[in-house]
Amino acid sequence: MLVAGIDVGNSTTEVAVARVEPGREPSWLFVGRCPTTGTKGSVECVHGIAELLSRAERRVGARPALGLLAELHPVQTDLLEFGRMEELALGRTAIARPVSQTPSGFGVGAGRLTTLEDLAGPPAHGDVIAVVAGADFDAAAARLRDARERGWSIAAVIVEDDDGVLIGNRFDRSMPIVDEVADAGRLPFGASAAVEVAEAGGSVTVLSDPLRLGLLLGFDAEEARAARVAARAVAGSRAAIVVRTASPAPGARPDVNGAVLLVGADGAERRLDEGAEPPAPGQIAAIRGPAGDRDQLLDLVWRPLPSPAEDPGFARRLARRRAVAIAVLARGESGDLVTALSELCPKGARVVARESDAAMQGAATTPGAGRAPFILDLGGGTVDLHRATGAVCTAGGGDLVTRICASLLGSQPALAERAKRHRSARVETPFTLHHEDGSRSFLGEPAPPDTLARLCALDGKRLVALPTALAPEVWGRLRREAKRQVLGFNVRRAMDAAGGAPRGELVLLVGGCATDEEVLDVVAADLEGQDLAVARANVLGRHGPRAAVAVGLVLTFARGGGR
Amino acid sequence: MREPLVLALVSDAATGAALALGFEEEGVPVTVAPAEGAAEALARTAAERAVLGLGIGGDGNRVALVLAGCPGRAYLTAPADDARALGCDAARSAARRPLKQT
Repeated sequence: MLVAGIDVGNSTTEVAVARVEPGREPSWLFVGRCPTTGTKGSVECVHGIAELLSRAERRVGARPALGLLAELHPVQTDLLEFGRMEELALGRTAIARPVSQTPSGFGVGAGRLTTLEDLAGPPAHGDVIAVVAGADFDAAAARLRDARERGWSIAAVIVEDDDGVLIGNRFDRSMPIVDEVADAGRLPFGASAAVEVAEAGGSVTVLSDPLRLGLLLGFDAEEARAARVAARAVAGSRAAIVVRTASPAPGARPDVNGAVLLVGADGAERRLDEGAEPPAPGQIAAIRGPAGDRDQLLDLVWRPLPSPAEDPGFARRLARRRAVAIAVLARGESGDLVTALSELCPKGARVVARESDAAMQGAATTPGAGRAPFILDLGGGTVDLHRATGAVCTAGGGDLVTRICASLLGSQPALAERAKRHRSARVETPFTLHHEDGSRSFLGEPAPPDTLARLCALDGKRLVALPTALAPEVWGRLRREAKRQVLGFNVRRAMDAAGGAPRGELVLLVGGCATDEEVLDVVAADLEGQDLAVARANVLGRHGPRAAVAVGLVLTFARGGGR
Repeated sequence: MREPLVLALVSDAATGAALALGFEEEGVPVTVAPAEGAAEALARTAAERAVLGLGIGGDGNRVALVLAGCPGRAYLTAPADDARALGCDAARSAARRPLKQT
C-alpha cells in the first residue's frame, strides 16, 4: 500500500511517500516539502498537504492511500516593544525624531515655527524657526535672506524636500538646517520647536539631554517625563527636531499599562520580567496581556534582542525599544485537520505517533548513527530533545530567530528569513564587496545600482539588499548571537530539563535549522562543555537533516505501530 | 591642470545646471563642461577622464552615468527632466551612500 508520512511543522510541511508491504522494508518513492499553510494543526494546513500529495502523485503515478500524522502542538511567536508605549505617551506632548541625511550647518536653534509667508510680514519678537514647504530652494533662500535683513531672528530652518544644503549654501552655511521632513507643511505653526545638527560623524548633544531640552522648550515639571522620552527618541542621530505640541489636559494621562502576565503551573500570577531568564518547560500554564491570552501552555520563552557593543548608537536605539521576542507552545487540537485530510486519501488519515518517536525513527536511518540516544530537532517553532524515555519540547526555534532578525534589520519576515540563512557583505563600490570578516572581494560586473553602498545578503550569486546601515561585521555577530540566544539557549534548557546527558555521547541534529552551518557551530559550541559529539542527521542516507519525522511516521506504521 | 574627480559633459546648460544641483545637495564636487554627442557616448568619454572613474553625459533627451570600470553600458540613465535626481544618485555613488532611486 502507498502511504504518506506527513509532518506539519510550524513553518514547513514535509511529506514522505513509500510503498509498504508486510514483512518488507518500505520502498521510498518521494520526499517533498512546502511552507505550512496556516497555524500548525489547524484545518488550513490541509492546503499545503494537498499540494504535496498532488506532487507525489505526479512523481509516483498513484495517490497515497493513507495519510499518517503525528500529534501536533502549535507554536506562536510575537515581538513586543515595551518602548513603543512610551512613544505613545509622548504623542500628545511633542514630536521628536531624527531627520535628514544631508543636513546643513551645525548647532542648535530654537524658536516658534513660522512659515515663509509670515516671514514676509513685519518681524516678530523672539527667535523663529522657518519652515520651507512647497517652495523652490532658490526662492526660499532669497526670502530667508530678505526676512533676516528686515530684522527677523531666524534660529534654524526646517525644509520639506531634500534641499537643505542648497538652501544653506545660498542663505547661511553655518545655520542648522534640516531637510526631508515630509510633513513640514503640517507642523503646528506658532508652537515652540528646536533643531539640532551635529558635525559629520557626530550626534546631537543638546536635544538628547532631557534637562537642556526641557529648558529650551519650556517643559514644566509635569512634562519632565515627556522631555526624557523626547530626548531618548533623538539620541544617537546626527540631526533632529523636537516640536512642542499643545499640552495635554490636566489629569489626562495616557494608559501605558502593557504588562504581560504569566500564570504559573501552580496558579500564581506574575509580570514578565524581560531581564530574567525564562523558567524550565512546563512551569508556565497561561499568558495574558499584549501578546494575547493563551491557555494550556506547554512552554513559553522570551528573549531580548542581541545588542552590538561595537555600534553604540544602534545599541542605544535598540535598548530604547525594549523589544522582547516571545514564543508560546500550546497544546494542540488537530481533529479538524485529520478529518479534512481523510478526504484526500482513499483510506483516510490518522495520528500514529508522537513527533518525538517519529523523529527518532527517522533520524536512526542516518548511515552509521545506529540508534543515537539523543536527537535534537531544531525546527521552525520548537527545539525538541528526543530520547528513548521521552521528549522535552521547548518553545522557540527558527521562526523566533527570524523575528529577531527582522526586528534588528527593520525588514519584513520574508527578507529576514533570507538574511538569516546567508552571510552578508556591503557593496562598498560598484566593484568591491566588504565581507563580514573584514576582507574585500572584487566583482567582474558592477553590482546592481539598488545594492550600492548597502549591506546585502549573499544568496548564491545574488546580492539581496537589506534595509539596515549596520556594518557587515556587526550584522554577522548579531545574526549569530540571535541564533545562539534562541537555539543555543533552548538546547541547554532542553538538556537541563532532561537531566543532562551521559558524557561522550552522540547527539544527532534534525530539522530545518540544522541545514544552517552557523546553527551547527552555535549548538556544538553550547554542547562543548557537556562532552557531547554533535553530528547532522542524514535521513535515508540522502536527505540530510530534513524529513526525519515524515520518514519516521512511515516507519512507525510499517513496523506495526499506530494501527 | 588636474582632471576633475567627477566629470559631466552636457550639450545644454539647463541639464548641466540640474545635474550640478544634485551633486551640490550631496556635497560632492562635479565639473560640468559643454560637449556635443549622445548621452552614453559623452558619459563614456567623461568616465575615462574623471579621477573617480565616474562620467556623466547629457544630450537634451537623456542623461547617463557610466563607470570607467564597465564602459560598455550605462550604470544609470534617466530622462533629461530628471537630471537633478540622476545627479543626486551619481553623487551618492561617489560618496558611497545608498542610491535614492530604489
